[in-house]
Amino acid sequence: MVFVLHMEKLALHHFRNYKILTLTLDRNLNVFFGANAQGKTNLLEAIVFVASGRSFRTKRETELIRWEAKACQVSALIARGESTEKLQLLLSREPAKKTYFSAGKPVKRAHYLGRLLTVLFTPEDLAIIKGAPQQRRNFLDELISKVSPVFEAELQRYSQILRQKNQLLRTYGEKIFASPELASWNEQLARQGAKIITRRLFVLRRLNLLARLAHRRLTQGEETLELTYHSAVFLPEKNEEKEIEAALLAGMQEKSKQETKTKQTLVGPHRDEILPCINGVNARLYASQGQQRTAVLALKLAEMEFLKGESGEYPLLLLDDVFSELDSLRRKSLVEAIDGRVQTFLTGTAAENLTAFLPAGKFFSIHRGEVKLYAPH
Amino acid sequence: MYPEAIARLIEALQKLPGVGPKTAQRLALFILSLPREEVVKMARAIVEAKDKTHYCRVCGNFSEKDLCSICLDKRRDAAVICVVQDARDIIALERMRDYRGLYHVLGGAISPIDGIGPDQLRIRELLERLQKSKVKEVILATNPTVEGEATALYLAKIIKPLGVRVTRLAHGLPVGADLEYADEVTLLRALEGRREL
Ligand SMILES: Nc1ncnc2c1ncn2[C@@H]1O[C@H](COP(=O)(O)OP(=O)(O)OP(=O)(O)O)[C@@H](O)[C@H]1O
Ligand SMILES: [Mg+2]
Ligand SMILES: [Zn+2]
Repeated sequence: MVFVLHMEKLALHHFRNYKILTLTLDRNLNVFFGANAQGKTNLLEAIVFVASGRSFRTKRETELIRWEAKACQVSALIARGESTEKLQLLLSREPAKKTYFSAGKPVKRAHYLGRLLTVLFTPEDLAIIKGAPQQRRNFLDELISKVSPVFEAELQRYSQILRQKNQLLRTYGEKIFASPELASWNEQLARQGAKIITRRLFVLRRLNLLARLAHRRLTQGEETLELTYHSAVFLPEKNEEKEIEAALLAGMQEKSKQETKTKQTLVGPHRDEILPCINGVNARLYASQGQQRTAVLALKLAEMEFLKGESGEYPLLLLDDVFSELDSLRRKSLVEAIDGRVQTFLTGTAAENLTAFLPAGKFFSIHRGEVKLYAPH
Repeated sequence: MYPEAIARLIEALQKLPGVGPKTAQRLALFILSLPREEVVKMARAIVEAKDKTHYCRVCGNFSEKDLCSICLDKRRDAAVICVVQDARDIIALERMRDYRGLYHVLGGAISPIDGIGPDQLRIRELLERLQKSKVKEVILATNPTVEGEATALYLAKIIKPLGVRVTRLAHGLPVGADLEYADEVTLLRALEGRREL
């Protein structure tokens, strides 16, 4: 059997509504079920937290610490074939500070991150198809950041430049038009923006191939999914960074009157759209609910394959409350794609609703932050 | 609670960058443990440094006189001016003893969010210098931060039409790093590899 990267053990200390929890996990599938507000999503949040150093629910991280506690910690024992690795993340309340540990020793954030990747799928992800353009930009940007910390830094730098330019527009409005000061911000924004667009286009091309494949499988070849990149400026055919930079700069100059009037930056990757089309039809406007689900599922499967391609290992797959929402065909395709390859964590409210089509694995019941192993009949 | 005099000292020390209440307390108690002469010397040194330090009328460098030692040094090449954000950047660049031109301190970088535009920086003074003397090259050594970069781009735009060569300290420096913290080798490489703007 091919070896699978997997989490062997997970331990929480004072994380959200958990006091102390130690779990020995199944390498293939782990199902967590329980009534509402018992700690299912909290558990998945802990897994993403120890893997990425971030919460997918909040920016104020001290919310993760159990109310009466001073600090929380998540530890994970990761197995790759014969070797294991212990990752630990400690978060204290005052001062709010994170400490990363590998093999029991404190290590730098940059050294820690990227060793364990996750793909999360929650009901909110349906907004990737129907939601505002920002949702799709975030989806793509986060995906790239998972494999490229540099890209994350480039994004941050872009938004710093953007904030400065927008402040300039707000303070001076039309008075700043055609000034060398505005021009210097535009130049910098175009240069940084081109870096981001170039990388997005590069990754999107690959993601498109994978998503189309997954989507064709999910629809038995009936439908074709395609994501197309739309920018306020015409992007040169070859996608060379230098050419994109020139196009952005020209676009900014062209729209400069309007920008100083509206006091907003109208050109740049922060305004771009990544439009999903199914059989050539704009899915954002016209996709049915079923089509949305299939498209998002295809994107998530594509994300998994992309990460595998980039890092050599499948990520962990976390499905929060979505499995029971999928119809039998989609469940079957999902299970086919992951079984024996991807360690999966899945939550739902009732065990019975989940068992159909599921491969072998461990079932856990969650009640008020207490987790019990559960033997299905 | 500390007696009032000590409490005031702790409060004063907390104004220093990077000093929190705990460190301030430690420093205050340390000062109290020193002999009186030492303490007087220290206090005098602070006041004297403040009173006697002025900024060079021409370049903005620290100076005790009207002009700083660099501007007064006849052996230096007056045809090259290196533009920096802060006077302490000069100290970093001087440490490698390789640069023989003059300097110009801007006193910060363009940052609309902080309300700093070209008028808040010593840019007019720089242009006056360029008009008055025969400067052939301006090296822009502002920090590689977003604000430092904007300042460099802005300066290049307004200086180039004057027929002066404008170069930018090359990117040997890590993105976002302060000049002040760069080691000498990195700085030297940056200076050698400066690029045309
Ligand atoms: N810092 C914290 N300390 C203690 N309890 C917390 C903390 N943060 C959240 N909780 C509690 O955790 C519970 C929510 O858990 P969670 O979001 O995991 O629910 P869930 O099992 O996923 O429920 P649902 O099925 O409704 O999605 C809430 O009752 C909340 O009060
Ligand atoms: Mg939940
Ligand atoms: Zn001087």
